[in-house]
Amino acid sequence: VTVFDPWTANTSEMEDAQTAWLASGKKNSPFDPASQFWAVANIAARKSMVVYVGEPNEMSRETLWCVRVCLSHGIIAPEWLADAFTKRFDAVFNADVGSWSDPLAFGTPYPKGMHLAALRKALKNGPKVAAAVNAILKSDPQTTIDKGLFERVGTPFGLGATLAEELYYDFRVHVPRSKKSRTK
Amino acid sequence: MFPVQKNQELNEGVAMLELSPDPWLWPDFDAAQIVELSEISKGNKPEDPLFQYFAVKKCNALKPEVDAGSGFAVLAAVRICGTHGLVMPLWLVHAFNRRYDAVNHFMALSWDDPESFGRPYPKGTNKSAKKKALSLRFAVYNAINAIKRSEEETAIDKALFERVGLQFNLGSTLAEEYYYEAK
Repeated sequence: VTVFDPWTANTSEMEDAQTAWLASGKKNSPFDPASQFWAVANIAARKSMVVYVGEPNEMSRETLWCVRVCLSHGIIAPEWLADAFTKRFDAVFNADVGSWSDPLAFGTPYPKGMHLAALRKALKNGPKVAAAVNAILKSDPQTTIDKGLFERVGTPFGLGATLAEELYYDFRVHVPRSKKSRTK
Repeated sequence: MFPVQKNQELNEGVAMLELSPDPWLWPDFDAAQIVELSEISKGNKPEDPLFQYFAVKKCNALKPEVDAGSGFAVLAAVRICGTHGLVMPLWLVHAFNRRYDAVNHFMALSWDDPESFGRPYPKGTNKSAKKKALSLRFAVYNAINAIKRSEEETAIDKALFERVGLQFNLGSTLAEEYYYEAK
């Protein structure tokens, strides 16, 4: 039985496996060869953040990200990831540290001082603010992107101009603008 | 389950069984089959079939704890699968992703949050005591077993725990606790 291994396959083997996958009547899914191939490339790109020698770095949290991707795509964890996970899990299991968020374990997910409510608000309103700004720019391409615009857009969402501006620049890439509006 | 496992060449070497390449689908083996499994596990690597067979069992044994809400058990199961080159079962995928996403979606700021993996030890746990217990419980267990083997008449009672405790600088109560934890 030929089994597709995303860790060793090259692009053409992946394409062949994907063709065979679809030809067998299976649908595109996180477990298909193309998705696994993409996932493996992303995991491999994080190796230097996950594997540490000496002091752990601030990227400890990437270990769990890599594990999540392996899980979600039905991929066997590579040895370096399994070793890194074991080392960090064992730091807690052996009671060397008392928190999963310790840098020796999986690290702090967010910098100190972050507020969940603010983050959730940003996540909720960011795309809306970006879409509102883009809509205005689309209907009136001469509009200047300035404090006045962000005040106007932020008010209906209960946001100040500064926060609206921050959200616009954080989220505008996720809300495409039409070509006409890209004059500013 | 998923199609790819590290032991995919397994079918070639097993005469007695038509084994699936997926260890999650293997049935319970009897003693003779386990011996045969050990014979094809010559590499002595964690991803060899014999170790994968027992890893699946250990992982499945954690499922009730995972279902009961233990984040510690979720991570312990992930550790087992990672070490033994196993693709993780869907129940584990769902449990892990839900807890990971609690942080990723700003429902929790720390992996210790109950929405995520939860605090690994209760508040106020003495880490040194925990470390001591982890390092000594099997030593106490082995010492008691050694005595039981050489002195069949010895009862498992306070006197025995006192005697063994002395070897490790422990009181009889703690020695008893460690013995039953290891057991």
